[in-house]
Order: sequence, then structure tokens, then C-alpha cells
Amino acid sequence: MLKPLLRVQLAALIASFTGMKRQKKRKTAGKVALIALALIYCAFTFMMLFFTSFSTLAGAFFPLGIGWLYYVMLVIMAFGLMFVGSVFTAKAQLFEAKDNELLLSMPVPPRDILLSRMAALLLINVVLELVVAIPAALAAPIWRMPALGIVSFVLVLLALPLLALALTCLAAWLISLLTAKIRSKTLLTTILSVVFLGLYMVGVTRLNSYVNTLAQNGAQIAGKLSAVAPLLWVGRACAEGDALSLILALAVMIVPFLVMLWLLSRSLIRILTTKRGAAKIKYVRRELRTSSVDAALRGRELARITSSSAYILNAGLGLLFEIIGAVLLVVKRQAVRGFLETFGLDSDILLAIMTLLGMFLVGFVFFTSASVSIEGKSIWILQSMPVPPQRVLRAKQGISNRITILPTLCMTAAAIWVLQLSPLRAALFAACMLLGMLLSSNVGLTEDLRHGSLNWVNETQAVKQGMGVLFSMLLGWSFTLAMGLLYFLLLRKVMSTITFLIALDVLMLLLVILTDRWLMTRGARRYQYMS
Amino acid sequence: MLQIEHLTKTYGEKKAVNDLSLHIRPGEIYGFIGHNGAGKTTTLKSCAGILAFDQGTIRISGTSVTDDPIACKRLLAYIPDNPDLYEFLSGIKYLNFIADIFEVPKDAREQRIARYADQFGLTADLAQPISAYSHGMKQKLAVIAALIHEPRLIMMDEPFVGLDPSAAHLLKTIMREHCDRGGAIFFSTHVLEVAEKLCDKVAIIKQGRLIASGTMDEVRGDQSLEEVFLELEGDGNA
Repeated sequence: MLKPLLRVQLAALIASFTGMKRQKKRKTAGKVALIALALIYCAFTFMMLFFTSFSTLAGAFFPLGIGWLYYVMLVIMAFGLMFVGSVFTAKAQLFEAKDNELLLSMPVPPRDILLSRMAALLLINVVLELVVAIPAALAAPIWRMPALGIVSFVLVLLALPLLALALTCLAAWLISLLTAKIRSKTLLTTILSVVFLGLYMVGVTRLNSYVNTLAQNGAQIAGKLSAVAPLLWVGRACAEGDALSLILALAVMIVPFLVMLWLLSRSLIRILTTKRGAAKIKYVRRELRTSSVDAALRGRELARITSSSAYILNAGLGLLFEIIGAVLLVVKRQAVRGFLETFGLDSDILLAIMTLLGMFLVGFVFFTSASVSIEGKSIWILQSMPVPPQRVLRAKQGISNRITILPTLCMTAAAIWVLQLSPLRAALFAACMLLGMLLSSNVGLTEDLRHGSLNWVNETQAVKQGMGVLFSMLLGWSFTLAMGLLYFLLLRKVMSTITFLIALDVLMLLLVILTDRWLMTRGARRYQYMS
Repeated sequence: MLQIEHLTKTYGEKKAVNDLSLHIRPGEIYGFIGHNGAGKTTTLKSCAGILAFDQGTIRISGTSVTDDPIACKRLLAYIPDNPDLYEFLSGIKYLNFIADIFEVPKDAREQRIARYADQFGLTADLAQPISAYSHGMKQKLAVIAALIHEPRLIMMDEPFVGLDPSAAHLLKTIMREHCDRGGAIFFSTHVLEVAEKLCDKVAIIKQGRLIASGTMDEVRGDQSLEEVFLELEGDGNA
């Protein structure tokens, strides 16, 4: 029974990343290539980051004879990335999948259901681990390792995702329990996710300084960490090829997984079928508030967005970055101005850089990119109502723009103030930001209409792994990158930054009009008959 | 009220509905029966304007669904076979949203929601999120939402699935009252006893083709509807 379940999980995982259906296989070769390219690019970027860090650590630890600490650092970093990267996916896949009840009603042992879902999570964990492990392996002087050390290194890498999976499942279960008990579960999940994301961002941005601190204080840290036996076992197994340490390290990684599997298998039916919902809300009859059709449509869009923490986080991350960017610009304005003076940067070049950076952040908002897919099987409601699809699409654009505009204006105002732009430059810069916002919203909606899927098992597939999101993200970033390259490699020599910004504004305005036209004609027809 | 002329809908190579013509008049409860995959849902969805069809015309009160879908949709209500509603809204917010879309005046919507929610025993649960509703409760909510703008034509796909006996009885009463006021109902069902007792007319569809239609007496003659259905279904298999 496990095999068919694994096949289904694997197919769902592939489909969620590629948006492929069987009958469309032939048309998707280009799509697959594009996705593969994007994934390779992301993996390469992270690997380079980790390679730099591990090279520093290897140079510091091995000469001091504390090579074991190198492997401990590898295990800690890989574990952290796996845990933070998959805890909410685990929550959605294990405890909130729509087909849980269907599978439980079948003669399938709960352990097989669990194992099939865990296999998908394990695959994600292995990929995340490899992003850390490959650069670590390349940066380490492997030739100096004893044979058993190399074997230990491989075995530890194979076992570590199991430990991460065990603790991820535990955390996901706890979060699921916590969020089920309270009414404002979206808020709590969003806050928890932001905390996790914050930890991740802090980790990534400060990785260099952490690594330098580690490298400088290797001996002290080694002294302290050697008191933590499991870490010492891992380090010794890899660095010295100590068999006993290897056995103990593997036990520490595998046993929790087996215990978690046993515990969850025993209690899966109870966990999934126990209604832990918040207390029943009693209906009190009161006057109903009426709204215009457009306001009602926008209200529905807003309710949809705010009901899902996954949607808020994945689509609205750019807003957080915009706000952080604005605050940082204002708080660190002296440093920014000082930096400009120190390096004597041409203010026009800086304006071009800021414009491209701003466009990059604006292109990080994806509310429209999943707004059609997220409707799922309830799309029939608006399709069967006396509302032209154009108005539905306008509501999707409208609510996305209304949410986005304030952070965008804040970021724009902060940049204008800190960089002390002249009125003309400020106007062109602001136009770029606003047109970028409109274009991003239109492209997101277009891509979701073109590539979106209404058939998902849990909503994270629509908002996180949907093709609409991936394509609009790639298009947005590619556009910004292309404009940047065009300016710095070619146009800068033949035109002023002001002219470039005017051309950019005109181009974006044209694209906004064209995408809008497509949405109101072919896009609307597509929406009306989507199924 | 509803005129379907030579409706044809193809999925790839397969003709889901093939040259189907039906005419549903005001005051009629029209049952639509057929085996699974016969083309009932495709026909209903085409009439509701949510599925593009290849050939034929569908008119609601003389207006073509293709030419003026919005005008047609103002006159109709559609309930699908599976009540996939907005789970992120509460029952009352969902009903209010539907009323907003149909521009139902405030007093009228309050009065209708109160009446139907009381009748279906759903009032106490209206503040609950729809995600907490059972299948039957969602079906009741879908029925109330369909009635909120007093449509002239109601199209329902298996409307009795999931309803408890008293809700099913209430729905039948509402259907009859709706038609007595000059409205019309076109619904699919597999429950032949219900169709036999409730419908004024019935149509039997098989592999996309209409194989029998007319008043209940014309279709069944001196047999039961079940016997006629099985006989007609069997003919094609021989």
C-alpha cells in the first residue's frame, strides 16, 4: 500500500512545482527547463554562500586540530536550514491535507499514510541539506580524512534529515495544536512564520560575521561544544573515523525519528479526527451591512488573503522588505549619505541603482499571482453569478494594489528623502515604483490565469508552489535584471539617467496597458470558463 | 423559461452532450436523469454559463446565455453537485456577499436569510466559519444562497445529496412553491422516487443524447420511472 501512496505524493510534489498535468506533458518541456534553471540558480547562490563560510571555517579549525568542530558546524547549519525550511510545509502536509480523511477511510495503515507524506518532506530536507553539505564537502580537506571518517560523513548526512524530520514533525504538530485552539489562527501562524523567517534572514545575512566569530574563537567554542556529547560524537566520527562515536551519532539521529514515527502512527487517527476547533460562535441577529458589487468583491478578496497565513507570507513578503527597507534607509540615513560621499558615487548612478532595487522589491509582492488558483473548487460561485469576470479581475488587482501601495509609497518617500532627489528625479523615481507595482500586479494575475491550477490538496500548493507565482517572480526579476544590464552595459553611455528613467516609465506604462488589455479580454474569458 | 436547442459539448474526442434540445416552461419542475457521466452536469453547467459549449443555443426567458450571460445569470440560481463554498467566510458573511452581488435590498435580504435559515435550522450556525460546516449544512447554505435573490429559474445538480430527511422535505416544498409562483426548476437526480413524485416533466439522457422526455405520465406510461429508466438504459447496452 505504501508504494501507490509514495507515487501519489511524488506526483503531487512534481505537479505542484511544475503545474504539469499528464495530458499537457508535451507542452511543458520549456516550462520544466525554466523551473530547473530557477532552482539551479537558487541552489548555486546558496551553495556559494556556504562555500565561502566553510572555506573560512576549514582554514581556522583544521590547523588548530579541532577539525571535528567543522563537521559539527555543518550539522548545525544543515539542521537549522532543514528545520526552518520545512516546518510549515510539514504542518500543511501532515495535519492539514484535504485528503487525510479520504485516506483514513481506506484500508491503509496510518503508518503508510505518514511514511508517504514524510517521504516528500524527507526529500525536501535532503535537498536543503545538500545545499549546505556539498559546499562543506568541497571546502573540507577530504583527502586528510580517514576512510571511516568519509564513511561516517556520508552516513551522518544520510541520517541527519531523519532527525530534522522528527523534530519538524513535532514542531508542526505543536503549532497545529496551538493554532487549532484559537480563533485568530491566521494571525498566530503568520507571526510564528515571520519569526521563523526572521531567524532565517538573520542567519543568512549575518552568516559571514558568525562564521568569522566562530573562526576566531574556534578553540573556546570547541571547548564548550565538546560538553554536548551528541555533537562531539558527530565531530569525532567524521574527523577521526571513530566507530563508537559514529554508532552513537547515528543512534541520536535515527532513534528520535523512529520514536516520532511510532508515536504519530499510533495517534494519527486521533490527531486528524479530533475536532479541536475553537468554541462555537453563537449567531446574534443584527443589521446586515450592504456593499456595492465591487466593494463586495474586494471584501471577498481581502477576506481570502487574510484567512491564510501561507498566502499572506508568500505573497506579501515583499511588503515586509519594503517597510524594512524604508525604515533602514531613514534610520541609517547618515551612513547612507556618508557612504555616497566616501565613494563619490554619481548621484544619477545611485538613482538608477535605487530604482532597480525598488523595482526588485515591488516585484516581490505576489497577491495576484495566486489569487485565481486559490479559489480552487469554489470558482463556480462567481462564474455563475451576474458579475462580468472583468470586475472580478479588477477586484483582484484592486485589493493587491491597495495593500501594496502604502509600503511602496513609504519606501519611495524614504528613498527620495534620504537621497535628497530633485523634484524631477523624485517624480520619475516614484512613477517607476508605482508603475512597477501595477505591472507586478497585472503580470501576477496574467500568469495565474495562464498557468494556475484549481486542483490542489492544500492551499500552500497554490500560494507557494503555484506556477503563477513562479512565473511572475521570474518575469519580474528578469525584467529588472534586463533593465539593469541594459542601462549599465549600454544605455549609460548614450543617455542620461533621467532619459533612461523616462524611457523605463514609458515602457512600464505600455506594459501595464498591454497586460491590462489582455486581462480584460482573453484573461476574463479564461477566468469565466476555468475549471 | 429555459430553452436548450441542439446543445453539443465535446471534451477532446468525446461528445459529452450531443444535440440536446429541451424546453422548460414557467411553473415546471423538470427532472433530469441519467447514468453517471451521461452529460447532466455538463448540460447544467452550460445553462448556468460556466461552461463554454460547442454548438447550439441556450436561452433563459428569451435571452441567449452566450450573447448576454449577465442578464441570464440575474434570472437564475445554480447549485452544483458538491457545495464548495467560501470556507474562509462565515455562513452569514457568505449569504450577505451573495446578496451584495445580486444587489438584494437590505430589508429583503435580512428577511429572506432569517426565514430560510430558520426553516433549514441553520440560524444558530450562521456565525460559524463555513469550514466548520458539515456537508449537509453546506448544502443547506448553498440552497439558501440560491434563493436569496428570488431567481426565476433554479438549476440544481443532485440537490438532495447530504440533506437530512426534514431538509429534503423542506426543499421539495420550496421547489413546489417556487414553481407555483411562476418560477421553474431544472434539476438532476439519481433518486428516481423523488423525481417521480416531484417532477412535472422528466428527461432521460444517455451518453449525451436525450432518449426520452415529456410529462411524467408520457415518459413512464403504466410503468414506474425506475422500470422505464432501466429499460431505456438497457436498450443501448444490448
